[in-house]
Amino acid sequence: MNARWIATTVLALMGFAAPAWAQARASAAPEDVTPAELQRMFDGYSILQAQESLKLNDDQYARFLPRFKALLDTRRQTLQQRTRVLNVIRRLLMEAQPDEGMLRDALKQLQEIDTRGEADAKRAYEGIDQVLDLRQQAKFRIFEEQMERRKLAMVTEARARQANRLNRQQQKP
Amino acid sequence: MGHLTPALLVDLAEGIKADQSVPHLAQCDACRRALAELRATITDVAWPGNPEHGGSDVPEPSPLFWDHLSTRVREAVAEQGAHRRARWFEAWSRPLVALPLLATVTAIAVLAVVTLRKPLVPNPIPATPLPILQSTLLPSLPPLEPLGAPDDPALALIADYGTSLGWDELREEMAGVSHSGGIDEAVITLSTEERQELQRLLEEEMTQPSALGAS
Repeated sequence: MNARWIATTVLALMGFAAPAWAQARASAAPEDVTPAELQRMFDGYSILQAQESLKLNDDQYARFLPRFKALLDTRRQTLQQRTRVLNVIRRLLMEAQPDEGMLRDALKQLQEIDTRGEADAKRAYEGIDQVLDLRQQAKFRIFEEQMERRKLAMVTEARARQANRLNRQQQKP
Repeated sequence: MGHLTPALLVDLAEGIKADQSVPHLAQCDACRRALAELRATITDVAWPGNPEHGGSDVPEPSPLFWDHLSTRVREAVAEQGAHRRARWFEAWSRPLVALPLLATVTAIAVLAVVTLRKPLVPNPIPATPLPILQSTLLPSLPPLEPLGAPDDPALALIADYGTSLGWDELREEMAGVSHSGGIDEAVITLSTEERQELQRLLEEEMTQPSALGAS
């Protein structure tokens, strides 16, 4: 079975269906897109890139995809929980007399989220490593680093393009 | 009772004690004779050459006597010194002295050689800084400027970044230190138009072959 077919199927089941979705959206006018949608698109992009970067065979790729998705979900879930607690702390600190008991509880909750997040991520990595050989495990660490850089570059590029568009509009008489 | 002691004989000869106070003298010819000789000697020394006092007549020495005496004394002293040096060498060169001495010197020499040939063990590096670092003889460095001072080199570095790099480039430079999930946070801060632009970029990327290539 073709690896790209596997990816499309898995992504479709996960709610991405990236290539088909991308081709459909390419011809249509861009609509407003939420941060959550963009984050899911980034996940789909990472999943598609992984196959070629890690040189996964079809069998490996089929087993790798749900595990990689689990790692991404774990990270995102931890980040969301963390952000929520940080917002609570920020709100408490804006008060003239912050409730120390609530602050203490929030800090404790933050600690628990970090601890649980690290443990979940470790389990997810172990699951991924089970389907990869040693070189692929090493490549996967590098791949993740490169993906983070690539995503940041895209965000930066998006900002620059929008800034250029605004400049051109302002220069027009 | 035994014979008279020399001290008692001297006392008797000099008249400190009377002969009658010592009964032994009347009974012992030997002690009487010794006392008579001692008295005669004392008389000779006290009054030499004076027959009136019982002294014998001793002629004056020749005028050359003193010169000769002086010479002979010097020669005798010199000869005795030579003898003493010869005796010293003879004493040290006797087998009973020389052999133990030679053995002792040899033992000391061997011990010295063994000690000097012992492999050198490097001194362990002390865990604490050497006192030299705290020596007041070292030139003292000028105190550091407080953090945030106008000429703080760290601020100068940031200023260089600020003038040579745009904000987006600076973010890219800092990508290596961004934590996992940092992209999600960055996406949240985008404006609607920027998100649409990012969406377009992602669509382009996903329709292309791997942008990362083989790692």
